[in-house]
Amino acid sequence: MHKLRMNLARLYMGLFLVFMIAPLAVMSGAAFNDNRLPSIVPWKGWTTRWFEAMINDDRMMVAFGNTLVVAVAVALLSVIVGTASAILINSISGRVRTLLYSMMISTILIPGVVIGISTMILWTRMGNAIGTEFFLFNPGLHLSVLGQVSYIAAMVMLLVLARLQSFDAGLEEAALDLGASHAQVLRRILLPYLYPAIGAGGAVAFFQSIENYNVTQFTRGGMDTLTVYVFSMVRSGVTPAINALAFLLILVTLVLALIYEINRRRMARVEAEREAEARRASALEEAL
Amino acid sequence: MLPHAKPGIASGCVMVFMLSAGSLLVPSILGSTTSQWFTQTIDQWFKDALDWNTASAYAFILLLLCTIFVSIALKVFKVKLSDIAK
Repeated sequence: MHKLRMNLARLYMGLFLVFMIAPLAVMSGAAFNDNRLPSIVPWKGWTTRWFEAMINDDRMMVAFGNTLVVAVAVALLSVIVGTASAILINSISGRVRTLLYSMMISTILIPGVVIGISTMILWTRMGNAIGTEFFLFNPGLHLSVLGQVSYIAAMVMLLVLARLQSFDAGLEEAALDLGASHAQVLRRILLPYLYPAIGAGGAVAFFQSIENYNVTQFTRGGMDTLTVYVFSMVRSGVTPAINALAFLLILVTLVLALIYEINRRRMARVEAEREAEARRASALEEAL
Repeated sequence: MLPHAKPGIASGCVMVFMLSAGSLLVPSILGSTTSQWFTQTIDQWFKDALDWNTASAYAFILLLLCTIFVSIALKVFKVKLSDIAK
């Protein structure tokens, strides 16, 4: 009975992994198939011409560049806004805290379509009301950045808040007692402690922004980002050039994740060695 | 184990519901031409008909319906909004 249950659990896990990975594998395979339609059957032989087609597709390269610019801007802004709101929410309590926290969280729950339309209408109507042609009030990528930040900042806030909750407030008080200014406490003590969460938040914001479609679609004006461009290609006919680009993105993500993991393991090993060294030293001291 | 994980399960359900209720790309690509999602209707009013007022009215209805649904779900599972994503 127990064995059967274990096998069922393994089967479920295998099926789940297939469900997650199979679409990616099929899609990557189609990037190398010498077939005008992106599919792996019928297989017409290996080719790299879709990678050339991808590089020669100027519109796609521009869209890719736009996506990266937007993603970097969103990551920077979200980290600033998210960290600030996490520090604020962590330092207050009671009803105000609940209210602020709920407000931040609700932006994650609100459908992206609604965020997109509201951002667009707010800024353009504000521009109309003032009667200005200033670029900030016209649709464009900067509005996409603002719209995306409004909910991605909340994700960064969650990550930073989780780390803040294990922060020892005594450190802060000690530093203040010893004559540090509040700015010094923030820069020397709080931010270094939050650094891992801020880094993770920045990465999350970056990737969330890359895959965002709903908000960008409404705010982009005439500009293309990758998701918008790919979707317009789906309407007009897809070529495997898209698969080639997606394959490269998956590859980059995998390599980055691998580097991060190797780095983390090396750090853990160094840490363990250091601890063992310290233990040996203290044991030696006791023996003497 | 299940009672302990209940708030997490409830907030997970709410989160997934909102994500899929607000998605536009997936129904447009994977859905058939005969099925029309609410988000697609909003998108068409906004982009094709260029009627922003109607589009925002539809978007507001979507927001309202989702808010009502989420509040009912949170009441039923006895979870507070501030417990979500804790």
